[in-house]
Amino acid sequence: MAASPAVDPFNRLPDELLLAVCQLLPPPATAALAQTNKRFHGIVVDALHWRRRCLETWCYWASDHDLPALTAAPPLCVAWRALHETRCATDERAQAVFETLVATLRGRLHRIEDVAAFAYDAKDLLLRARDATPDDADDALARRFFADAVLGRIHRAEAVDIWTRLQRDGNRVPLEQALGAYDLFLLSARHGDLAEIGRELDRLAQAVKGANVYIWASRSTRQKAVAVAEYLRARRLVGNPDSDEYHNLRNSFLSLALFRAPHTSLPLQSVAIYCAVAQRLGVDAQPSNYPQHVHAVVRAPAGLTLDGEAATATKAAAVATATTQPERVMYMDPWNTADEVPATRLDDTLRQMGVPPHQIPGLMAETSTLEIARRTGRNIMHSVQLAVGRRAPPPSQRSTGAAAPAAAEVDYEAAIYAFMWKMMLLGDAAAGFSGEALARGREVGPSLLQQMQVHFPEDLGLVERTLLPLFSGSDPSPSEDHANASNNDDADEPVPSMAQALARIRSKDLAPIPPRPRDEQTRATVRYHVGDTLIHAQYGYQGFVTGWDPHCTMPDEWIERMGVDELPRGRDQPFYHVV
Amino acid sequence: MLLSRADDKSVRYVAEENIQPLTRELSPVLLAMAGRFFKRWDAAAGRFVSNLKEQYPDD
Repeated sequence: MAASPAVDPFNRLPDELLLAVCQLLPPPATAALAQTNKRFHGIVVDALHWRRRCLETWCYWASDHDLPALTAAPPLCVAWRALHETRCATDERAQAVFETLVATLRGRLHRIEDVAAFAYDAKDLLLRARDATPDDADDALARRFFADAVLGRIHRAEAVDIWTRLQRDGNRVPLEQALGAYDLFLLSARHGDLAEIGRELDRLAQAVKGANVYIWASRSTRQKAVAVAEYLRARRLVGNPDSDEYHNLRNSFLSLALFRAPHTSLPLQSVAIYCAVAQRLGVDAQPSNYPQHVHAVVRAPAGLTLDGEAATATKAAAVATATTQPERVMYMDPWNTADEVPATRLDDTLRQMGVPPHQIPGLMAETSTLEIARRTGRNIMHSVQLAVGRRAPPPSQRSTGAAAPAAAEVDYEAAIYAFMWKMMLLGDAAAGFSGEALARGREVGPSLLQQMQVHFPEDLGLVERTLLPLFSGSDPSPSEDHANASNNDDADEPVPSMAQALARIRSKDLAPIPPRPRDEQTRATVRYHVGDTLIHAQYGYQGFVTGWDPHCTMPDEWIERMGVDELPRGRDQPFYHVV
Repeated sequence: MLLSRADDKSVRYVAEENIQPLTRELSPVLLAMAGRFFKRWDAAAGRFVSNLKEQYPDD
């Protein structure tokens, strides 16, 4: 540069303007500029560099960082370097706790809580532990398992947060988040993250626009509503051609409908996807609570009709929820068709079903996100009950013919667990006030506690934090009526309250573990070891050994019930804990 | 529990005489649960490597 910095006007520009200029430069020019003098170097390279480092190193950020705000802000206004340091320190701490948690049984639940407290700040490292641990690692199975468990715990905490907010203030929670919360309960959800769902819906909205790009702006609301349905149906993203599979559990989950072939869904999820995409395109589409088959209700913008004309004064002043306003309200059924559904047909069907006329407008109209979330929970339980009743192998095995059924199937226990949480936080539609709905929902408390203990013990802290405040005093927890061999509970003990049950779990987690070494005798007599795989000689089920006793240590009542003394070797043979 | 197939996640207490060593591959469902108790699968020994050393140090 020829002129000295003091005179050069370019150099007198403030940092932010220089940065703005630099951002328009192609990278080589930026790099070159950074070489020219210290000021440029400092400004340009430092801010952009650390910003890029942050965004490339970590995909996931805890919500209190408010990442969207950070990335939108001018790079110089954010302390990216300090942020990078903070996150590195967090990673180190979380990683250390995780390593200990994998290796140590005692206090494990507490450590899981500690890692889960980092929320999405721990997600990148947990994903690495789960997905990038090499097969030959010394503790590969354990690392992957616990990484998955803690991730599940973090996701479920997010779902609980969403439903808590939904219950408090339904208007603020987007439909796809209220429903996507169910997806967060599915352990096998590789694509289930709410941000991914949101991005996919954004992408679909852009694609709809792109497919109609030359005429989009001039299209009326009615035409846009139909265009969205046409696009989604053409890509088979809504609907379900296989009527046998209507009630398949996977049809209640948005992430499965969006990301996993065959992309089938129930009408409710199809409508939810439809509404989410339509809303992103400025079309006011909401689901209805129509019995047996949810529809979408599309409403024209204020002051206009669906066809883009000005609404006449008298019509505009009409009652907002009137169903007999074909110029302002239309109905869509993307699950079945891309065509508009005439209001009269919906009306007639309700009358044929015997619905009293005064209830018809309510069933045809838009419903709340809260109600749709509750309805999804009911659908989920219905699907589970049907599947259990059928006791057939999961349909996905039949249709795909693939040899990996477990991977394709939805985790039923997780779905049931999700339903229980929904009941606790959102209640269920009762005829009365929401207070009654919630009270009924809370009856599920003891079952939820049991489900947690068996399948999701890592949720201890979440249950304590969220559910305990909802219960006051002595609500019973379930008695453990299937043989819990490590616990030797006296059958006459009084049923504890939820608080007591949780406290007991906590203290057990921290209690010292009495070691059980092998002496000469146990080496000789106890034939099997921890880690052996087996098949039950009588019942035929598979399992593995997780512990042993030299003789049967269950109470007499259990021995009698199970007929232990009738066995050839009786109660004096080694007994094993088998999963 | 709603699903009470024998292959579910419950812990059972089994007499030694009722145990037969398994020669086949463990089902995927059980394999998914193994990580809670074991470090890895030892193909040479035909059993899982225990992660329960605090409780059973010699196993």
